[in-house]
Amino acid sequence: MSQAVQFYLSTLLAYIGVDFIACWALNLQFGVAGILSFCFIIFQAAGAYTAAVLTLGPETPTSFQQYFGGAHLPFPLPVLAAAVVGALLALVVGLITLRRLRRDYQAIVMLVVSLIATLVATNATGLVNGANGLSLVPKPLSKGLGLSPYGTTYQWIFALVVCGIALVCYAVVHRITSSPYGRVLRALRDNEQAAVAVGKNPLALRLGIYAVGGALGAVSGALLVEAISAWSPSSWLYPETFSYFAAVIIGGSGNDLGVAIGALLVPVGFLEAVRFMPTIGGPQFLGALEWIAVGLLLLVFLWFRPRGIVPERRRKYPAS
Amino acid sequence: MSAVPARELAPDGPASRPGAPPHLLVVEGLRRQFGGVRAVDAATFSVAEGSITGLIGPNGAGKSTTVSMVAGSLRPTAGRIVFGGVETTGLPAYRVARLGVVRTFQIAGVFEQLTALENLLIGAPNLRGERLWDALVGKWYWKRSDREAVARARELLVRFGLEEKENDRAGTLSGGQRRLVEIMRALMAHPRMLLLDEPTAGVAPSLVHLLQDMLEELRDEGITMLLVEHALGVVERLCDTVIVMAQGRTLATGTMRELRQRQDVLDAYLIG
Repeated sequence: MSQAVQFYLSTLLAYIGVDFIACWALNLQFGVAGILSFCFIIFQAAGAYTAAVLTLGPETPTSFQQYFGGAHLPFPLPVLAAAVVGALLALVVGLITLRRLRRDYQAIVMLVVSLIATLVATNATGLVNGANGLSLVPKPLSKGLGLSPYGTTYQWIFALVVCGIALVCYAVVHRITSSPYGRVLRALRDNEQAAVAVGKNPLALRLGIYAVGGALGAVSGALLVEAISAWSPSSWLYPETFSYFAAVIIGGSGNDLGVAIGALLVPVGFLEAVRFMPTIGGPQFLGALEWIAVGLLLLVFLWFRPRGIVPERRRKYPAS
Repeated sequence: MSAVPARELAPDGPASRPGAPPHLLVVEGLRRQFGGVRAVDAATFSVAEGSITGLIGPNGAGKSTTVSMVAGSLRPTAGRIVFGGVETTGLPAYRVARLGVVRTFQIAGVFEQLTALENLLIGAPNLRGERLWDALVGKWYWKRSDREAVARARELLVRFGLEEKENDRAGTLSGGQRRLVEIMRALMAHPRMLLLDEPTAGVAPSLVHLLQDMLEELRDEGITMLLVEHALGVVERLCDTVIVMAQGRTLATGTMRELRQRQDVLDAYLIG
């Protein structure tokens, strides 16, 4: 196998790990808890920026990038810090939106939050280098392993590290979804009034899961920026949120396995397949076609198979 | 227990007669305004502990709004609600429920994607594993309490004749079965008082009889009930005391036999 193909495949594997984590995170917020988290992408972005800044090191007078609070932290500390930032951000957004607003208004406010966040990151240049974003983020572990960060061996090892972290994230997600906490969240999603009527506190329950989803979303962003060494506002425009929503709905909202299949199909498979299509139309055409195709696929599923490829499973309890 | 300063009242409330059972719920001057419309206007009544008290009246009388305020789903514009000697006015619904007041809805409120058994488990109070940290600790931490709740839920399913439906999604059950699931879930919460909003609406006649038998059994077990109902036959059979509401006010209180003699009650039903 040529080095170029190996490079492509190892990068794709890292992307798969990242997208699995992101889709499980969104599934916790939307599929399990029923929160229309239309600002999901800001958690991934916050994680990516946090990890990038904490890996790049402090800004120097000769730096070609401007950013806030740089440090040289060893891997995996930037990823853990990203998780904390993601959780805190989710708590702030959750406290604003989940307290009093009805579900549809929550979605609108979250979409607006996403748009505002992109505008702030783009225009406040001193924060995370504005529209140019952050680049040349040092590859983690390469020094420790004594490998060139541009060699295929390093690429494969890092992709496997990403997949390992994805497995850890899955273990966390599975613990939550298979627990009584997951059951109460699904009840709140189905009928909030009825759950409240038997003493469940919807805000506390939802804030908790929203923070976990935010943390995992941030971890996905942190791993992505460590893998590809760059991150800019164009990476996290609001349509990216909808590609993850499409993955969750198509795979099977509320089902951990289904969501993984959705992640393979949409953000990995479907969007990757467009790369191999012959160039048609203008230079922007294929990019636009990508989103049109995802939108159409989502509509087809909502119409004919609204519960996705692998629907949420019925949980049976062993006989006493 | 209460977000507002709890004013201790005599447990039998203001309207009790000597020798009468103590009042578990006391409602005084309750009002709810929606813009210029007074849906409930100075409603005052009490519910004796261990009784089934009916709340009847024509459409738009303010019965469901009253129940929503007692349950904490709606905040009263004025007036106060005292449950078990503790003022609950303005408390959020989940805190009222934790004090022992559990409601059911006009349209049976089930969790459609959850199985009948899971619907019941949601009612179990203080279950281990229902908080984020408990869930993260792992199954060993909550397995035992969950198993106990499952056993209790299965007992209720057998008692209400729905054991065959244990693993069916609640969304696939009939209207009557959903209603039973809703009541069983309320019972899982160990309520002191049930607020039943038209429990026989949309239920097949055969199930209505079962439902009535069950409610009588629950009353005999000491559960107090406030029953909003349009079917007067059901009210007559079940209720010890009946409160009549009309145009947002409490019009009369008494037994069904007494109320039938009152012209103002008949007028309220005829005129609305």
